[in-house]
Amino acid sequence: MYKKIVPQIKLETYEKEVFEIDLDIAKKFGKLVPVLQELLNDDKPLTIKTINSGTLKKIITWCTYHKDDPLPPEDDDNRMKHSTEEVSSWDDKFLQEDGQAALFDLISAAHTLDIDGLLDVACKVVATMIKGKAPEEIRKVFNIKNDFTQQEEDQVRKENDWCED
Amino acid sequence: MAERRRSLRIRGSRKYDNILLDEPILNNEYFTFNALPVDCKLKVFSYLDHIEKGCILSVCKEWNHLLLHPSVWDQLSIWNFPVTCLPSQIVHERVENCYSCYKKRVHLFCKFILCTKPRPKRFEFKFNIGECSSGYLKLVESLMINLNYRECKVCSLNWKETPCRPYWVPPDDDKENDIMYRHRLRARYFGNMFDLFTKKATAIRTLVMPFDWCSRSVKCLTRLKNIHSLVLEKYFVFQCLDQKMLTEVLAGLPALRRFMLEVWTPSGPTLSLYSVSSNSVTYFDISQSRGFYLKRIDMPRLEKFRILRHPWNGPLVTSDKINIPCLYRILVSGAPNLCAINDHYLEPEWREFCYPRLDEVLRSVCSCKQHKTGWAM
Repeated sequence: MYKKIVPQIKLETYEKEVFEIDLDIAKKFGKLVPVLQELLNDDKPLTIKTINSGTLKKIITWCTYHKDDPLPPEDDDNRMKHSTEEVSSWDDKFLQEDGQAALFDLISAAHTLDIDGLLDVACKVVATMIKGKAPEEIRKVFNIKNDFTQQEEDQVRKENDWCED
Repeated sequence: MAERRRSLRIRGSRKYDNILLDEPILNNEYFTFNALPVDCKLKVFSYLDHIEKGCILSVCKEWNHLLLHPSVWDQLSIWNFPVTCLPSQIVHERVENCYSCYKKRVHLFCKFILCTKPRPKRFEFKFNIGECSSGYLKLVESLMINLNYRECKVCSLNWKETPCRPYWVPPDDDKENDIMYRHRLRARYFGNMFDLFTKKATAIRTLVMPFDWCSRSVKCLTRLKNIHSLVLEKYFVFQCLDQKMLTEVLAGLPALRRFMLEVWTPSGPTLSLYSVSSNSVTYFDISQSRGFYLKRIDMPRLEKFRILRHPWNGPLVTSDKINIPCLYRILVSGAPNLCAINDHYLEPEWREFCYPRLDEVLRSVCSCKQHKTGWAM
């Protein structure tokens, strides 16, 4: 019996930990696509200083889980339909289990590496965290400082009271 | 803006060093929402609806600034606002169902949008433009005049009804009670509005709207050469549909793939039968139409066809007086690539003979003498 050899590329994280990633998975990293062939032939790992090992591990897990997903339709009419309903329960749990900071880290890494699917679903999860909350609650949830003066805040709300219940 | 760029940093002098962005920043400290790249923040906001976006304008200065970016509002859907009293005006009688505050919300939102100046990619509204005192027509027209629709791909223009208007709101004036007057007035307004819109939004691929089938509107519709998916709803029960207009629409839209036609035409002893032909349509749905009977189909690329047999629309007539051609023959001769009728997938030999399962399907949808039983239409 021959063991199937899976081509792999090497990535080094901030912690200098080297990860070997199957080509199938690495193809999902839009940023790396143009240099994949070169990376395959290269024994030296590619260093990505801005991504830490925990985040990369999560990215690999996500890409592995979704590796057989059909490609999004070319037809952009349907892709424009933004809805948060489509987040599967697996994604929802997977993205939220390590807390908010990890989720933002993941979004930032997905943005850096240009992983569309992951970026979409992670941003949807964050949007769900915003939905249905009052500004005060949102500040609390995201640890945001209110830099409006009371007067300014009242002004903004008054100008946009079409949305106020 | 306390925005932080994080990037790929690649060591060495290899060829792909050009994907190196700027200085790497490492943080093991708490990663917050506001530290995300701007693109990501905007993406998050894009998953919120207009009401949710409006509510978070007052979270902080940075969010407020980001939310005023035109791209945040490029999916314009203008109809869905709370029908409750505005917080500043809780003086109205019906606080829970205040239509006058609903109208105010719509107007305020449009004012906001006109200042933000998005380039809509999707545009949707649901207003009865014949409701003069509400000013919906002016509102919609000013949105059409002042925004750039060159990138607009998906449109849903419901100009015939305001779904949020509670049924007990009295009409503006007595003339509004006259149903014919109301429909004619509205159709006239629609003609002008549609003329304006089709000159601006030429890239539309998907369009859903009630349609009046007058020759001017047909001319405007055929300006939209990129239409791929078209849903034309009835705007009035019962309207006449001129064969010439139908032919003109189908001939004038060379990219049309999916066509859903809903029209309620009157039926009677002098029934007119329609022929439809298109070289591009692959999906044709007339299941919502009433009184729309076919004479001929010439759609070489048609794959899916949807049809329903509705109750007869006209005066009581015995079925021997009306001769509606059999759907099976129409399809065999005019739709060689058909794969499915409603939910029934055709057997490969369907064109050679009508097998029992297909016959069963035809019995429920075809109005010819062979497939429809009973002495009356």
